[in-house]
Amino acid sequence: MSRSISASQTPIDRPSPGSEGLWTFVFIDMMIFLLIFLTFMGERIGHLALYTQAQGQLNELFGLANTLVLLTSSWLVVEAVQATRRGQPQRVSQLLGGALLLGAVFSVNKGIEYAHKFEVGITPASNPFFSFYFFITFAHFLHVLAGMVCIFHFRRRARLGVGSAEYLTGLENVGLFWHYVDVLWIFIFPMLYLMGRL
Amino acid sequence: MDSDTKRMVNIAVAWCGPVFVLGYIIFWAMLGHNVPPPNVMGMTPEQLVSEYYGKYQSEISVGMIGCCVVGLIYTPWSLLLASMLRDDDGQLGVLSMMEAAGGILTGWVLAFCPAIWGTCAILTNQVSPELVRSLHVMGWVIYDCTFMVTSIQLFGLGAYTVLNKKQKIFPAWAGWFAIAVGVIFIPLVLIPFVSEGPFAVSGMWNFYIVFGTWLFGFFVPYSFFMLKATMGVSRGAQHTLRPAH
Repeated sequence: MSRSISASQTPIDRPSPGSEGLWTFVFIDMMIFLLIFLTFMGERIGHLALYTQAQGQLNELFGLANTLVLLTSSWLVVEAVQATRRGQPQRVSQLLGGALLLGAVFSVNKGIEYAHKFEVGITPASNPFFSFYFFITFAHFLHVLAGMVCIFHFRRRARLGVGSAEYLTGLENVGLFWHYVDVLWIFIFPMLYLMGRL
Repeated sequence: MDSDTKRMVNIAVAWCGPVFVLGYIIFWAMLGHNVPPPNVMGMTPEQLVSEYYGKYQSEISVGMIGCCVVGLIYTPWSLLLASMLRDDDGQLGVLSMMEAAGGILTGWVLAFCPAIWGTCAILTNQVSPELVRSLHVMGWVIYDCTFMVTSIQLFGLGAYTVLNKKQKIFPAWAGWFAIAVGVIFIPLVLIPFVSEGPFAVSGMWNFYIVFGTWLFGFFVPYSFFMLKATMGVSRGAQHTLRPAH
């Protein structure tokens, strides 16, 4: 199926980016995270003092830095998709390299944050808040790693792949997934790092 | 074996799944007083004996020994499921093998851990409360912390369903759900370490959500499509349940 979009097509006529399977995955994964968030909120309401006190032990600067890193990385992937449509393999490779680098920055930041927690004796077993904190951020981190593997794969294929409909659809899938990872973090950051401070 | 006989065997094995769930609800959940289970990490040995094993000794004994039987009914159901995950050439690939191996091991865990709890119930007045609690905790650690046996089953099944676009028995969404359920199990590793909150053995997440999503996110849809496929195969129409091309 051709992925080209004619000028006469209205936004409604245009096919959604990516493939149906990826949209299905994102929807189901979103349901799972919604379930996690609702459980967290329910538990937080029931044990407000404990959760507020524990949330105060998180450093919101780590969360803020990672928010900015992921947002910038998402923007680079959008640019890479646009560059693919324009048929610029070298530009695609550069942009995906930048996105990959920012993914690595996120990972290192997360590693430092975890190490700091373990150093001061905070573990997933410390209290229910930290069980959620480690579970949610680790599940999100696994998504980041999966996204990085996909970006790495498409960066390697850029020189030969740019110009083919298959590559474009694949990269759109990666972009969709990477935006989803970003959006998840935009919910996780205020929920875990900021809410106790309001 | 002729196709009609094979069809009947497949239908019988497909019904093993619902029979297993029903049996496990009766023996493990109801007779075993496991909804929710006692929060053992927050209980002293004496509390566990007086409030659980001593109080419901006969029911737990019968329930857990019943589980030793019905738990393994999960295995043939899983094997039938694996036999439906055939590659284009009709062979069973590594994803089918993962489903089968995970199903076999899960069936074993579903029967073996209740055997430990059954022992606790039967001997509860003959051995020390500390020993009862030790065995009880060991049973739960095996039951929950080896979740990867079931996750391997779910990942193999889910990946096959999603990646094999030619098969028409299971929809892709069911595959994604199976993978998601496998991931939902991850916090089960926390059960030996926490005594309160959603990740305790009887907590909201590690009991209700884990068991609930396994049942409704994996078992119900796959069981439905298995029954539909096996019962929908017309007599003599095909020798195997190979995916439609």
